[in-house]
Amino acid sequence: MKEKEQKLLDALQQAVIQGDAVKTDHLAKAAIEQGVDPLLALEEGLGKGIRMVGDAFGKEELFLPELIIAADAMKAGTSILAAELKKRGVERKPIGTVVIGTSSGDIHDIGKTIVATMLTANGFDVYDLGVDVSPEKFVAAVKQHNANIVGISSLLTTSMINQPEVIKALMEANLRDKVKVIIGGGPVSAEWAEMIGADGYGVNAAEAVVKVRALLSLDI
Amino acid sequence: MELQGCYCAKPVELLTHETMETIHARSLEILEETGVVFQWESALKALKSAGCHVDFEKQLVKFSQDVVGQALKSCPSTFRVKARDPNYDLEFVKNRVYFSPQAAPSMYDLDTGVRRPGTVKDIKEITILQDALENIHVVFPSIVYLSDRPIPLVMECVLAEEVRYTTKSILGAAFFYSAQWSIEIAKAVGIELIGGVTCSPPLTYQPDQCDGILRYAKVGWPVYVGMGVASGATGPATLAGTLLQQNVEFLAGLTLAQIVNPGVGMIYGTESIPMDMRHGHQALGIEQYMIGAATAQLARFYNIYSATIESMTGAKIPTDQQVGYEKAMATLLLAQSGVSYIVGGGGIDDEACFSIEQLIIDNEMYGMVARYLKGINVDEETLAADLIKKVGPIPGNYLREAHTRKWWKQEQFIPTLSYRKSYEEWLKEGSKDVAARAKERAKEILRTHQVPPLPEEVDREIAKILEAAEKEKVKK
Repeated sequence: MKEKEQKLLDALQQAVIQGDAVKTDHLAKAAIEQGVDPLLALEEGLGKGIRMVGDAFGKEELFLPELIIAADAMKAGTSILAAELKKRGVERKPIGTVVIGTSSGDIHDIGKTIVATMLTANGFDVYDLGVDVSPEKFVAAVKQHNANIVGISSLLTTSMINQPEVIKALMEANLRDKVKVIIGGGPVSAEWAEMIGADGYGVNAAEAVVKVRALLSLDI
Repeated sequence: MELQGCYCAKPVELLTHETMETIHARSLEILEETGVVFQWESALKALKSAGCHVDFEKQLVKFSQDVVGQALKSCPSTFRVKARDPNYDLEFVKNRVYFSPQAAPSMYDLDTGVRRPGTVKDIKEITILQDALENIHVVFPSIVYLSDRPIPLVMECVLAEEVRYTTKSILGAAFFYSAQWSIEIAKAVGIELIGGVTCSPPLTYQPDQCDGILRYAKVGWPVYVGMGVASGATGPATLAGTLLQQNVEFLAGLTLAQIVNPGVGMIYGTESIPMDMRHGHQALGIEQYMIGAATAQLARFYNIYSATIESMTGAKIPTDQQVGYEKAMATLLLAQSGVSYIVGGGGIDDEACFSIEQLIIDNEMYGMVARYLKGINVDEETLAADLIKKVGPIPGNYLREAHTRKWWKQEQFIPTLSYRKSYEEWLKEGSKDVAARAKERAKEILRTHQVPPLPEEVDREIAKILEAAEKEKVKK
């Protein structure tokens, strides 16, 4: 059993490294069928794989295109295992839950996708709401996923002005104290973050991870 | 086996074919009517025996059109130069472009930034760096004055360090009658050299350079004849006149080499630069690069190879923007013009100083230019029409596509020095400019790069050759 379990964990790890979402989906299901602890599969399989990819990215041995498909593969496996845990009534406590999206009036996808990927690669549960996301959608997603981080991206100065609208909506829904808000994107700056009452600003994806960890008082 | 080097598919042309015909015709006229001085008895004898008109007293040689025509005909259209590692052999073929450092009499100290005389240790380190740097194809005698060696023995001592610390091809020299000993050292290692000689304008070859042509041609290694006209001082002030005079000088040197050994490879070199009449210094800049580009074209006209220095920048330190814009302009123009052998890495201050930081920076620039020379690869796969159809408009993106993973690295030049991250990251990483980053890379290479040592008996043989050279040249 032990040997078989280790083999499955290794396979999960490899599937993440290869960015093969079909494989992580299959392997996650196989793990459940074969009685492997879903938490173990998450931590020692998928998690280990994505941490290795993240390290290699930091050392410039792997690059964004590999990192993004690895994160996709990680998510595919995670959704299977998380559903199983929920079914069993086991509470899983991710290090942080992030909802992220590009603010309304803006359809730029790439920067936000990269930040989402980096956060995923660093062990956060990330819900990517896509582009042109209204304040109401942000609020609904925070409630649904019990998120503690909200990430708002803007590439345009015309959509940047919608970032405070999200913060306002969170206040109106009495969620502002429950979440930390980070903002990012081309025209955004630390000064702007302070002005609109956001909690943090990352100059790039790696910085975003550092900021989120700091906001959640995790070790850096 | 794929050899190193770049390839210029479609050289830029500054001269019309008609202009080159005219330059050739006028060159033949000047060679026949005025002639060229060779200050070396055995060169004069060789030229005389081939049918040139020689005035031994004036050391002046007048060339008939037939002799020059015959010499041009015997030049090979391609040749190879053997390196210690056969992967680093040079192969001069049509439109091939190589990069190489340049020579200087002093060092910009890597640690202090102070200018000082060079030492044997500098040569060792610069050679190791040249061996490691991915866009340096030919190792060049970078320091030509060593404070810890006798002056007449400098070229031999430099070469001895070079053969020890590189497996790449090497350019040999002829200064201070060093050709003889350089050839012996190269033979001991089992390699060939490019034999570098220079003409002294106007229309004169000095004794050691004549000796160099004779010796390198005789051993059958390619002869690189470099002309350095100072337009307005040692040649006409016009670019056209400069091109004509250096063509006369080159054809004279070429003829001597081909008489000695018909079929020996020829490289047409130039470092001609106008004189800045405001103060008498060299007018370092765009005209030099234009002369280099036109020389490449003339070399192709003769179906031989060209060489030039990318830029003898007048800037004094590697952090001065003048270094950057002069070298960048020169290198791109010269590579676009299909110069076979571009010299200049590491040089600052009008060829007066060698900087290791600059060598590392120039290597980066050569990499970018090499990327330009590779051109735009167009086929069905690189056009990616099917992919564009598949991904479609936003929110489609290409980051997840296998096509991206396969191609991005093949399409991009990935810099080792140029900084592309944010201002905040730059601050965090120590606010280093390119010279500071180059210095770090140099130190890293010097700490880690390994060059296979020469066999002990070869090392001993080299020591013996140096001893013999010293006995003959210094103690006499």
